[in-house]
Amino acid sequence: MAVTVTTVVDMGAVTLGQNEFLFYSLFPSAGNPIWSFSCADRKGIFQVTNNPHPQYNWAVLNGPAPNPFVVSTDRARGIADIYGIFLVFAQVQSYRITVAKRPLNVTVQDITLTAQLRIDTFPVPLTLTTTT
Amino acid sequence: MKAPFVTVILLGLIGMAQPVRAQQPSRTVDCRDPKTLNELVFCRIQVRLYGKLSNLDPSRQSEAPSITTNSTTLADKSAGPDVLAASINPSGLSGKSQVPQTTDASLTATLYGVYSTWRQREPFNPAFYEQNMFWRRLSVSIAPSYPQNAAQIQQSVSYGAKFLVTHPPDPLDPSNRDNFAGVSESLRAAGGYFGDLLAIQEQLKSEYQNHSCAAARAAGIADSLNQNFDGAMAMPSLFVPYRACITAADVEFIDDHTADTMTALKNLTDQLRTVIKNIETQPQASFSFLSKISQGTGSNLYRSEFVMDRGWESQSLRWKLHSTTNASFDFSNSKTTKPNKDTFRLVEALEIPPIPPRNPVVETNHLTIGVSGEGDWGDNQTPTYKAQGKLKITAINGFDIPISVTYANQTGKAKRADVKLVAGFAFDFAKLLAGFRE
Repeated sequence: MAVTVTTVVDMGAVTLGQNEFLFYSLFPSAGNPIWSFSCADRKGIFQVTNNPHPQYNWAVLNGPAPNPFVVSTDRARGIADIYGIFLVFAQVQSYRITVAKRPLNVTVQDITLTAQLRIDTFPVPLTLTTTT
Repeated sequence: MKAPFVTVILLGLIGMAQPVRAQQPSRTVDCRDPKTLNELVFCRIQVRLYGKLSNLDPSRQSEAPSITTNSTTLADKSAGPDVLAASINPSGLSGKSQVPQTTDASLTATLYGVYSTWRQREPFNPAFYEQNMFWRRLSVSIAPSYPQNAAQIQQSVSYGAKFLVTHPPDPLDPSNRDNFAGVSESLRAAGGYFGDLLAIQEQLKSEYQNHSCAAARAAGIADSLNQNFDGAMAMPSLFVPYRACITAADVEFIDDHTADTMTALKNLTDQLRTVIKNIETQPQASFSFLSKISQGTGSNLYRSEFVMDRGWESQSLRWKLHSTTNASFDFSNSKTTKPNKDTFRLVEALEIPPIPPRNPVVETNHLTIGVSGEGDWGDNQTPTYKAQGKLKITAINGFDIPISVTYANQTGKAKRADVKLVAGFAFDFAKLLAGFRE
């Protein structure tokens, strides 16, 4: 494994109050991004294997989801969950992930990962606990 | 499962993230020194997985080259070891036959191993490994042969050099994109990792809360762990001193808990590897030059050889057949009045694991059976035909015990049929080291 991590911010764990949400952005470098987004109980909530774009955005909301690009939390209040992005570097050399807690707009994760091996994969987790 | 998306619409609804970036040093994930719980768990899986996967490549040769007197193989493989391999075939384990009894030893190294030593770099550093692919294509070997009875035959030493000629195209080429569409299901399954990670984090947290940890107190991080254990697991400044609190039982818990994820990652890795391999290497081919220099009046043998390896696999039937083909031109240089010999030699070897592991990730393939055939044609000689049956026992990854029985319609000296049993021990040090790291 030859993954280089540049961390600007990684709080590792975050709490979400009612109607707060995490805003995810994924910026792959040139190529064909292959990745999936999962939580502890739901594998592959989103996954991309052959749909290259320079940027992907979605949200995780503590409340009912208004559209398909928003994921509702699924664990009871106070019970920790892990949401994570599983990255594959076969056709992309690097990814930048940013996660902001809204509406306060606090950056909780800003990480860039670069791989030197095509076979490399790497998970990027974030522990999330709802509070209200 | 939802479709892939680009949320231009979302940007209008909830605004664009604009995090402020600060200058931070980059660091490469080092599995010997994990800086977060995520790195520790994922590295643990990767290290175990590498140890298992490296045993599955049948195109690497750790046995003595076929040119040695007492070799356990008729066919040479197209690739040498990852770094270094050694073998010994003691004469005491060979059956008596018309072929002289010798003890053969061999040492094979890729020039990559030599180069990494010269550069004083760790050969298993993945970045260094990837950057120096060219050196991995070249391997050299030396194989001295010691006669059991000095009067029976003169000592000889075999030398060899092998160059892997396949030149892989780049998987990053956009034209290869469609090849990766098939990894979708494995990618989804690999997402199970986050469930495992949560369970492990909860277990460690529970243990910490119930039993505390002297090392954490000594490092002055106890308060931080009490306040935000989950967050601390992602912060190198807290996780690194906390690592002293992780016990052998915790590591066992991690291994037990990630067994399913290992399988999912193995499938994903297999698929990625297959796709990348299909792009990069179709049949793997190499050229080699071998020479057996005999002392005294024994003939010297020079072999120029083309080697091709190819595998066929059926996922549904769980069999994996590996084929190795050698075509060589041998020149035997007599030191006496006997005429020199030119020989064309063709060898085909097939290998199959008779009991394929149900789960190759957690089970080692301990047994491989093989059959080979060889034909030698040339001037000043009657054709020689050989058939070989072989059993290879893999005691642990990187340590093989090959046992072969070879029938020849004639040998060089006696014009009558001969049967010879040979057994030996072969070591591939990269695989062994991977096992010890585990």
